[in-house]
Amino acid sequence: MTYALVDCNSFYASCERVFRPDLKNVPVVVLSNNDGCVVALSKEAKNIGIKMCEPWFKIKDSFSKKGGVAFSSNYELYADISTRVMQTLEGLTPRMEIYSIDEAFLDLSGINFCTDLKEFGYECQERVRCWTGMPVRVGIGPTKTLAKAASYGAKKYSATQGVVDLSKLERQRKLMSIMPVGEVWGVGSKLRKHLNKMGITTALELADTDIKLIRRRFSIVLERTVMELRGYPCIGLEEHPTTKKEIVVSRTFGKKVTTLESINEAISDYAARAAEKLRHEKQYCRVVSVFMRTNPFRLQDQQYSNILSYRLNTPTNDTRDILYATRKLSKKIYKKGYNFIKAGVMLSDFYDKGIYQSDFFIPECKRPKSEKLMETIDKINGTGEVKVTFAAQGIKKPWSMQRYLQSPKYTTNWNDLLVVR
Amino acid sequence: MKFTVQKDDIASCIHNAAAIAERRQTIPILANLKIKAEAEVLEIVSTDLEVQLKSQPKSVEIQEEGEVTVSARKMSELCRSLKDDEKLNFALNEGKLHVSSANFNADFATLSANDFPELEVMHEKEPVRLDSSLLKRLLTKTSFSMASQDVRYYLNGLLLEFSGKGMKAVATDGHRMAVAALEDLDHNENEIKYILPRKAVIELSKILSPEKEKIEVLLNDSHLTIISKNQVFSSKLIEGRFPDYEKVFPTGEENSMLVEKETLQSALSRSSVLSSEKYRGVRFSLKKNLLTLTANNPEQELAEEEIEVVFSGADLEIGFNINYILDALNVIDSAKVEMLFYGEENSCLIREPENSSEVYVVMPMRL
Repeated sequence: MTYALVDCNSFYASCERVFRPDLKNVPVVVLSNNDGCVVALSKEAKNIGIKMCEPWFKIKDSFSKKGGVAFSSNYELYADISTRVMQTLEGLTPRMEIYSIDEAFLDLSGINFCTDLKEFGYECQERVRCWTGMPVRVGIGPTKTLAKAASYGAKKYSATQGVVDLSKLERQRKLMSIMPVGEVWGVGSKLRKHLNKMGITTALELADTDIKLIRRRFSIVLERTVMELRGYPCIGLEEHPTTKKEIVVSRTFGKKVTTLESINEAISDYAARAAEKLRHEKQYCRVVSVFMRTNPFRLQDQQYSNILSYRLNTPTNDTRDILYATRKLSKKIYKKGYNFIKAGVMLSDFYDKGIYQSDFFIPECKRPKSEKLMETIDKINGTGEVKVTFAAQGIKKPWSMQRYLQSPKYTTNWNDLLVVR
Repeated sequence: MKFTVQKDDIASCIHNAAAIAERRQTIPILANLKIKAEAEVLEIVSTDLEVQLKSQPKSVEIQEEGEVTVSARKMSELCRSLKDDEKLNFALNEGKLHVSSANFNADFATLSANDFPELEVMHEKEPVRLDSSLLKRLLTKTSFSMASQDVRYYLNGLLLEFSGKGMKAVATDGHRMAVAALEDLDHNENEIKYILPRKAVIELSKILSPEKEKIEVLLNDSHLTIISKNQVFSSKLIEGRFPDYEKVFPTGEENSMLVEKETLQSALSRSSVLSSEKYRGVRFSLKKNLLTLTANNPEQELAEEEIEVVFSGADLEIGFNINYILDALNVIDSAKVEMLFYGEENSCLIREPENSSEVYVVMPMRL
């Protein structure tokens, strides 16, 4: 087997640069919802000392003085650019797995017979850059874990020009000997501490550890990682994304919310979005949960948080059924006199379409034309901005997120289309 | 308190009591069983405040009267690991229960028997007398269909219905229902219904003797008590109205299918290997004298099996949860089994051919 991991460099920050060539070599950061803290940063921003997760209000002034540009998160843009990148990659290989919004594993089996793998890596980079404007790095290896390690090498060492091929054993061992064990795919901070205590500090030391000891001390998961580092593929390509087991839509409010009406509006809005996601997954849910909480950082406020669930009689993906449940739940959870800052909706217990175990005492509720109606709503709203909403979702939405620094939705909204002279 | 008893004579009393004592107790003493030696009788009591069992081991030599409570789990584990013919000595000594046998000595921590809560149940009505084996059979034939932790709390139990000289047990979780009836009992009642909680049903079916031993069933509005030779079992009843189960029986044009029980059982077990773990669905396709079972799962795996049956109705396709069908087949005694179908959308009825006193109704699953 030969795998390639194609990973976009500073994905969110690079997305912001695609339509802003003037930002080349300028420090760029992207902020979390409500412009809270830094969630993505460009190499230049890193170089001037900005760190991940830093609260925006602390660095705002100094960052601007140094010529940096900040953006509120623009997930619509990022999702669309991601789709473009993935579509481009699909043209390069017959089998691939979209691993996350900015990463994909490519199956390169057979490609090494036609071309040099490193050359293929550069071709990949060039194609994605030309077609989407996104910079990517490519890590190649006989297993997914080694491809990940190669990608680490491509990021860490600029001399590689963003492509590392670990097909050969000596190259694998050389990179692993200077790669901290915490950088290995599947080794988190807790595991890293355990391994460090055992004297395992590099990826190579982990690869050379007795497999029986790993099984005894840890789990089969780490054993797989070790085998993968040794070049034996244990983790296959997942071409079809596994069905989600739950969908959560939650947001921090733009400002504190105190009335049941506003909370209801916000929760209905999240419920509508969750239902849309559910339909996208082609699933039907049976359990709807709602949660809300106050701001734990406002010590002067009385604190309260709660979550409740509602089991529907029949699995559904009709927004109206989900709104019925969330309305009941939010009324039960809400308490007067609290300053709420965050709320969310969770859908779970999913069923495939058409599968239904009937019950003697509960009549099956089928809404006539439900499927057609939801399909139509999704189609209208799917073209960019949400145009059709349920009245419960509110109109002004004063509680909605604050994103003062958001860039235009260049690729998904006609009004934001870039005009060239 | 001081007594001597053979392990064989006390072990089953302790195991049954331990099953009733709370495992994850809120009140610590409910994890204990009470041992009381009085006159010539030793009594072992355990309760979770909903169900209670009092039993009296036979052949006990009581040297000193007294009572105490001790961990049910530990006593049960000890009994399990002792040799069968061992003679056990129990003695309460300075707050510890000293248990000894030939080479074994142990001191158990105790809690005062005065703090042990017991269900006090009063019954004014005449008892219903019947064979223990009959009631055991009734429970075994139906209890698997009870709901578990359903919000419809009245389904988390078993309906006992007395009417005239008959007695019926009904259990349903909403997806399947089991009904078993007894006739010609030596009592005569107006129609009365009681719902026995799930735990009581499960424990009772374990402790009832399979022999033809007479027992007395006493009922009032809130409790049931069953008195047998050396045991008194009591349980609270579930307050609530059990749904009208008569309405659950399918009606309309029926098509009967007759099949060898073991053939169908083994074919379903094979299909279940490749059925979806979540839905457990299996498709029944019926044509003249031929049943085809199909099961598949999200991994696109598929199993199909054809079985010869006796069926002359119109072609039919219907889906079921495999477990519901298998559970019903497991309690049917006859070699052949009859399934009555009432169309694709309606429930089906399973029974021994021509036996209407034990029937199973299973709702279909749309696949």
